[in-house]
Amino acid sequence: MTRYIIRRLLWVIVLLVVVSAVTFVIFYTLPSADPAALRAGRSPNPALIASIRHNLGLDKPIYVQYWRYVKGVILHFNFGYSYQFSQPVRTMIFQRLPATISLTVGAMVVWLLVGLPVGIISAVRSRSLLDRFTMGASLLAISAPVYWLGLVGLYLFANDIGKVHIFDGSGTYTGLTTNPGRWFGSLLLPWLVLAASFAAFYARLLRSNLIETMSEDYIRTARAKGLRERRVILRHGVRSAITPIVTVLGLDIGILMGGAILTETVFNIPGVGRLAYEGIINADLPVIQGTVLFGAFFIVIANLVVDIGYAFIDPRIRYT
Amino acid sequence: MRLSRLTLIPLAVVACAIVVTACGSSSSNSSSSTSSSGGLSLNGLANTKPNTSAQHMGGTLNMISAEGWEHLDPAASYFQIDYLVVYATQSPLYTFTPTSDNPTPLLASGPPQISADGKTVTVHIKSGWKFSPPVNRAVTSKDVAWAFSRMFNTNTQNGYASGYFPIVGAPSSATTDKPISGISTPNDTTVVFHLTKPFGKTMAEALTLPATSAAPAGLTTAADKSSPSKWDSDPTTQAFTGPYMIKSYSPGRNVTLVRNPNWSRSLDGIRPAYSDKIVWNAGADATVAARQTLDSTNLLMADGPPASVLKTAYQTKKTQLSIAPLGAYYAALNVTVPPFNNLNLRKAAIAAQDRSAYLLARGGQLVGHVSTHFIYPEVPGFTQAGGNAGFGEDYVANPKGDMKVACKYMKLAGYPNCKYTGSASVTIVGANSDPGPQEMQIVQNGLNALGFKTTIKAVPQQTMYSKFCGYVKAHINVCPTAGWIEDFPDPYAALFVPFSGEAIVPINNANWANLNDPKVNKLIDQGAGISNLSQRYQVFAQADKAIVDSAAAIPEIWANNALVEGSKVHGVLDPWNDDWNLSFSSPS
Repeated sequence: MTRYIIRRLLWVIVLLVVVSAVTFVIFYTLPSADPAALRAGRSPNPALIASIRHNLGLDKPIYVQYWRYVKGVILHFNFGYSYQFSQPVRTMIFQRLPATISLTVGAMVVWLLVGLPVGIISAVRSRSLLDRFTMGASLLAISAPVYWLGLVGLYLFANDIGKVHIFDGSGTYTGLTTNPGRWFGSLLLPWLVLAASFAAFYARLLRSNLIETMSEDYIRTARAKGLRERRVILRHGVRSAITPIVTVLGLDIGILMGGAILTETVFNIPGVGRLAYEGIINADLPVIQGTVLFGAFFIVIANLVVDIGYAFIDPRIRYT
Repeated sequence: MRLSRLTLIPLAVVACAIVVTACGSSSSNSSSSTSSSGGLSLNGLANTKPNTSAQHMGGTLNMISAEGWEHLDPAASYFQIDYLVVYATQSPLYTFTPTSDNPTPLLASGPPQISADGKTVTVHIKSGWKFSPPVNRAVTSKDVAWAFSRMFNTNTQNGYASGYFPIVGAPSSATTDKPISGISTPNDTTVVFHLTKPFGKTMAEALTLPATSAAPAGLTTAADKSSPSKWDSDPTTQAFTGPYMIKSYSPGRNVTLVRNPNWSRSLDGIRPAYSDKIVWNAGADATVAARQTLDSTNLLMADGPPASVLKTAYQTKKTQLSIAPLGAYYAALNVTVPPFNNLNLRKAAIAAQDRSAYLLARGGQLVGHVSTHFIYPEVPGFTQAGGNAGFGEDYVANPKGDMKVACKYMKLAGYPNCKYTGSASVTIVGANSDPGPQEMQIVQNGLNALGFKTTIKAVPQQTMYSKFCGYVKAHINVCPTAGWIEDFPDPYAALFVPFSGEAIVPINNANWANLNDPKVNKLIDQGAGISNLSQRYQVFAQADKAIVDSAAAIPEIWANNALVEGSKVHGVLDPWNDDWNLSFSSPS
């Protein structure tokens, strides 16, 4: 197991290098804005442009720029300086990471608490009225774009612009350490909105897996041994059917840790996703690069955790 | 205006897009106008003028915006939203006020003294003005001179220093706060600027720009050696001279202003500074922020509301809506490359355009009206430039386009069948966000009707400016989503950068037509040197006419900016910046 983890961690480094290289190449290949021009202001003289280009290292060949960047990240954990905000990217990301973690983890709890029970009940009572209702509702939730759902949620339930004043509105995010009560209140609606489609998807996925699992021979054996149905479902059925859910969960968490751009935007949550968006529209390469790397890092780490988790969840899997 | 601010024009007006047609707007500087036009009344809009009887001291003014700030260092600041903060935290030598478009002394003690030859400008500053803590010392003329040194330090990346301050000895690429030989400080309250050309009157107007705010001499040296200057990275550490100080700042997220204990209301004499504290949260979704503002009692929104909310505001919460002139949009025709290096082809192209379609693409007459020339309504000299009617050229006479006139100019260009048969194709580059694609199609339709072969390239706004339209070597034929806001209310600021050949630079060029017409250049230069306002505006009107005669751009619209506010907050508008003035606005 240890060798497996070390091997995977080495691959993580390789992957991050590839991701950063691809981001670099894309930025320079596609017609994005010229960072030196963006910094220079209106009608700059060529000397000013040259000076900025030199100071930002943009006058060096792309491979030199890339090497400097990689060196900075590895040796100093330095992700560069935002062209737009004149701030270190590392600081900006770390300032925004708590909001993104809060949003992601809270939403994950919600979607697991809702999605898994619904999936199990639907599978166990397949084709019942309840099953049809929950699966219909889940289809609706999957189909609803999170941006739209967020706006509808705010217009209906926000304390400021809603018809019924239940939840805190957009822009009320407060840090957990500042005020835990307000932190919880400000994130409740974003959690529900972000979790809606995930919960629906997980419910549908678990339902189909569980229906298939419950028809396996070993389930029949378990029942024949006289085990209680509840134990058969939870210990034998769900444990096997949940493996694909864990895979997807790992990826989803990784992706969301890279930023839930739409949710963060609608609810004005100062997270990494919004930062990435701002970096993209401002052609701010260091910010784009930093947020992409962070996103990629979370995805591969989450994947690794999931793969390791298999060994504990599924007795059929062993790593060498 | 600088690039970022240029990008704001489309953003702001896109945000203003509203499906209300057959309406009109006032050319008044204030949304509190009581005009009506074309069936849409502008009566009953928010009163955005100062109202001393209704406003009171104290409380917290809450701001919200979709966009965040770029630079809060006054030397670097060149963005409409940045200006709101910088004008509340700093004190330029002169300022425009919500009720006056004339430069009014702020840090200066009186009007600038301009020598007869226009090449020397002397400014006296008030005694006793102090920097905020921790600097806590009196502002002297050396601090003003230092501010100019910072402006010319490339590390501060100022966008307008070389354009508006042709000071003797000003460096073009210094990387330190180097003293400028053309600025002298004979005593603690006097600054003398020696200019390379007779530019006194224009420079006097530009002394309202934020970079003229005093900077503590010597204190910025270390920060300004870095590129970009670290004075900008953490604005809470700056020395403030305005009524407010920046207490906390999170880039793109929020800024909190508190009172500057060293600021004196009586010495200032202009800014009432009602609020004790100003809390501004940025990064909001524009639709949500606009709705929050309209449903609130105490919010001011710094950027324009999106279409649907603007419509709602106009229909149901008119007293919380203000509309003021913003700037101009036009489609630049590159005069240096075929086919539009031919004057008659340019005139034909303009004549063939349905310019009213641009207005519809942006949301109808509430957000502006079809333009006929390039000095726009809020700029002094508009009347001398013919007002709404313009100069009467036949190719801009009909806002819906006139194919007969277009045909006339096609024939003059050597195309007897009124169809272009040459080999040059036309590349149209515009923003890929609304209404950019629609505007490109409008241009394309007009040009296709004349037989031009056209290609559309839709790119992000920033890319459009920095890699295509503002990059001379890209040789883009038509840039239809370009716009301009003047830096200060003077025709020089409206015409020089976008139309003078002297303003052409290889990168970030804002003369998108690449117009280098000696007559235009000469008239703009001549106007810049005239102090008598009547004569000045007449000369700039002639320059405006020469630009229209050159057919370097298709006049699209003179745009308005819409802003919304909470039901009890009293937002006061700076007409020259088309946005709120935080020192004059007050909470409920």
